[in-house]
Amino acid sequence: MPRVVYVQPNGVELAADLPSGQNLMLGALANDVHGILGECGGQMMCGTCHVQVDPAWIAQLDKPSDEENETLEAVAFGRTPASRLSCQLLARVPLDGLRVAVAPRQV
Amino acid sequence: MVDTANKCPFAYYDAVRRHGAPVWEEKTGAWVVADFDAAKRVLLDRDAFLPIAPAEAVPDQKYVRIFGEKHPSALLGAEHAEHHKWWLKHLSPKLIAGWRTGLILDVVDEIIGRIAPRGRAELVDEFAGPVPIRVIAGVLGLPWDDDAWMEELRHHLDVIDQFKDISYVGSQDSSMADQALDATYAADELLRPYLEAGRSVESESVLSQIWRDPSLSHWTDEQLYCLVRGFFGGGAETTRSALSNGLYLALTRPGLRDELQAGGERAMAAFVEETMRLFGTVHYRTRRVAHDLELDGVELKAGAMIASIMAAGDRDPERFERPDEVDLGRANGRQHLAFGIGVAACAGAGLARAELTVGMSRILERLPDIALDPDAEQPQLLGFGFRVMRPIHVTFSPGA
Repeated sequence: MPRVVYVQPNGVELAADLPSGQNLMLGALANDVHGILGECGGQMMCGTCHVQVDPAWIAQLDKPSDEENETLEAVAFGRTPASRLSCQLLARVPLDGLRVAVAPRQV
Repeated sequence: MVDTANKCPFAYYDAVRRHGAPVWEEKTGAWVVADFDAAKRVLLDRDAFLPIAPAEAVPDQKYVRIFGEKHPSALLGAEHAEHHKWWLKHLSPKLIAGWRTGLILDVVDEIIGRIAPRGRAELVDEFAGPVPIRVIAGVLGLPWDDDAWMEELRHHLDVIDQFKDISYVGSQDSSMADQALDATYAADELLRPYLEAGRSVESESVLSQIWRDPSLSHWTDEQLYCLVRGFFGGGAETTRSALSNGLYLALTRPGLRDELQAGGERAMAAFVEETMRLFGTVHYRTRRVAHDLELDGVELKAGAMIASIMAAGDRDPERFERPDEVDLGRANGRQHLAFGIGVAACAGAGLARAELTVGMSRILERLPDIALDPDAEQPQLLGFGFRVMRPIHVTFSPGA
């Protein structure tokens, strides 16, 4: 199972092995990652699963869709070039070790 | 679990939680889990714990109409995701922001205006009840300010909700089911002119869009009527109970009102979450075990029913420090289970939060000396699947 490292808002890292193909929002909820709410269930409608991807990994990810971009523009903490909705990032073996920082505020 | 109907269930929840593993309850006909992690897992893992479709929850298939054949709990996978998105689109943060300063505020102020001159009221029936059902009506473009129409609709919806409340566990009462079924037809007759107007004239309204949305093109007329009733099923009694429970907390927890007044919007937002965590409306959800599996050391067989008691998980001391207290500074205050969690989390949670925020804020602003009436019947936590503190008799200085 690919490992994802979540850096929580308090700075504490939480490493979780997720089933391949599971999105990082659901992975965070299942593993009690602090600060990920995922209130719309992964439909890109709420922006409450905002993470910032470690710069070393950004190039290895698909670009956000127009729909994800639209929601990222309205996230509570403010978008950065590294911002993604964790519901749109899938744990995959080639991304083993992916690091994301949970946005300090989701609402 | 079924023995806690109309009684305070929290001592029972504590006992099940302390057991630390699923408990089989013959009378309930289900495994029961009450700690946060297990309750969460049952809700999150929809491969292992299948939602129970209305067809499984009714004594005869003719009663499926009470829930709707296309009730979200009957949908799985991509079909569920697509439909969930439909709900979210019609209850989007942008729409809710507009309703919060428009429709919701108008409804709340109208209802407060009716009780304010009297100096006393029973808040569940005279405030918390009328607000959400009228907000939903307003969201749908229905005549929320027509008292007679709203009262008739409320009556039918109450009959439907009373059946739904007991339908997923315990014995099933056919006479209640018959009454609820009749009520669905009666509610549809009330809604019919508005739905048919929506069919005739294209607009951005929900009642127009349901006839035109490609994702609903394969739905029958009856299913679309059920969909519209679903707005009330999801957002009327649920929010009525939450609003009542929040007002009960605000009126009874020492120092809380001062804290809310001093803390402004952020304090009220935190209080809404604490209301949901401590006295969320929906106490449990049932699921069907999809395949033989182990949960916290207990073997669960495929096909068994399991109840996730979210209201117990939300008072789990392993998860929330001083779990029975209102704490407006909790770091994880919004990470509760009251609206569900994961792909099937409540699509109307944002609307409910907005109604709770506006409803409680305006009551405390407009009736600043509001207090429980010590001479009247005191509130108790009643209900089963949906739990509400009632009655809430209050007194206050009469005002405009």
